[in-house]
Amino acid sequence: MKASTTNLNKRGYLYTGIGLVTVWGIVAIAYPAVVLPSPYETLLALLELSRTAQFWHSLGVTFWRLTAGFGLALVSGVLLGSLVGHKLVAYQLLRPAVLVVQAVPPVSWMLLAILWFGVGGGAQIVVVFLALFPIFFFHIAQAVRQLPTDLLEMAKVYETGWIKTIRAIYVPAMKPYWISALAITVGMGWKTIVMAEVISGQTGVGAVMNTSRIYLQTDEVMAWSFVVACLGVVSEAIVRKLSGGERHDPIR
Amino acid sequence: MIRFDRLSVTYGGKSVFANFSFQPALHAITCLMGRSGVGKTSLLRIAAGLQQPDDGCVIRPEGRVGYVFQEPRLLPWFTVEENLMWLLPNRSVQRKARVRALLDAVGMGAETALYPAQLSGGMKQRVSLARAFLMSPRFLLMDEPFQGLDKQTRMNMYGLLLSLWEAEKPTVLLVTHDLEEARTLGHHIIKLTGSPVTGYTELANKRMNMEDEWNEPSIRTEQLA
Repeated sequence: MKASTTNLNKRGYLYTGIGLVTVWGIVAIAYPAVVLPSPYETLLALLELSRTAQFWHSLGVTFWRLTAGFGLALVSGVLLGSLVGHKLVAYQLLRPAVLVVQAVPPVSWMLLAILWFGVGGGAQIVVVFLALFPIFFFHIAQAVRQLPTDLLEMAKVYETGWIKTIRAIYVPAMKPYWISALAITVGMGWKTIVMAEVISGQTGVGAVMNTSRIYLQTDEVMAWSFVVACLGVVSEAIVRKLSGGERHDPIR
Repeated sequence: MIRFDRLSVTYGGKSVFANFSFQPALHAITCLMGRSGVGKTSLLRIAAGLQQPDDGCVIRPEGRVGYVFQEPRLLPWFTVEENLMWLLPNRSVQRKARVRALLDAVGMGAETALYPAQLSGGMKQRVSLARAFLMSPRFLLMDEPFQGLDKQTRMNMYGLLLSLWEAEKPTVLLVTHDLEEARTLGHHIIKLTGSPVTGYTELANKRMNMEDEWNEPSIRTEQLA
């Protein structure tokens, strides 16, 4: 049953993909390439791009910024989330502040960050951090608040020690929240960093996309969009594969 | 030794214990009785160090503690066997054999690979009993441990508890509503009295070859000022 569902899912992706590309190809016939390049032209543009050093350099720059912003958000979100998960007062105090951070559009943060730090001063990293931090914060706070106190009491009475308690209770109890937070943030991170670079210009995937737009190289914009979308989907799939699926390792 | 010394406990704004002192007999099974909500569970939690009294102090015996909670409290992501295994030190040899033997003793030998969600309430309770016995506790706290078990299983569990007690002579505090059960198991039967609880009455007991005196108890009443 499970296997056949998976097959259907996989075939579903395939059929939908073929369908979309077909529609895209048909619509592209009606318009000039500068408005809508065909799938074939986009593929050619992608191959062309991938042969340039700038392509890989831009990817590298963007990936580094994403990693830095993601790492900062992860560490601070987990630390503060754990803190407020344990202390209700801290949660009530910090929650509105984090909600405000989340409510301000990333574009606004980007413009402010450029004004404050300049385009070369890590403004993109700041924006990724601000976009992802609330997600870690709320997920971890929630995960800590729902920790099974009955099981923790049991572990305390039986003097299992904190290493075993973390492995056998904290990790599996918090796992669904972890998976959810990571899956959301890796996907969102790629979109946010590229958006930030489009605005800041200069370097990175977003900046190159913006240059292509200025020169009306729509096929390159499409090719880059495809690359970024794939990176988002693939990173999310990797996170789910690494963290989900298999059962928690029993301690032997 | 174990001793509850002038305990005062409030729970949710309500005074549960007021200046309550009690010294259970060491290496004996003491059954705790009293109307529901009187604070029997609180007393066990205080004895285990899970709850602090507002006033007074508790002296606990040295050594391992076993606790059968009212709910099974099994790890849902571990199998029956793993639920016991993870408590034992990694380096202890023959731990698998010990776990198997205990699970056999509680009649769960055939279900070791199942997860708690796949078990009935009574089965989970039996795993929780096996877990309490696993570490050869010096001090065993049991909160209505045989609730929800059918009569035959309950008899088997009585036998198991008594044989464990014979082997290791732990100090046992057992909360129960069932006088028959208390008489079968307890060396002492204590009924908590007062609201809030200020003292207790010791009930007569078959095992101590005393007369049946449920209705006119006062063999010994301690009321500390």
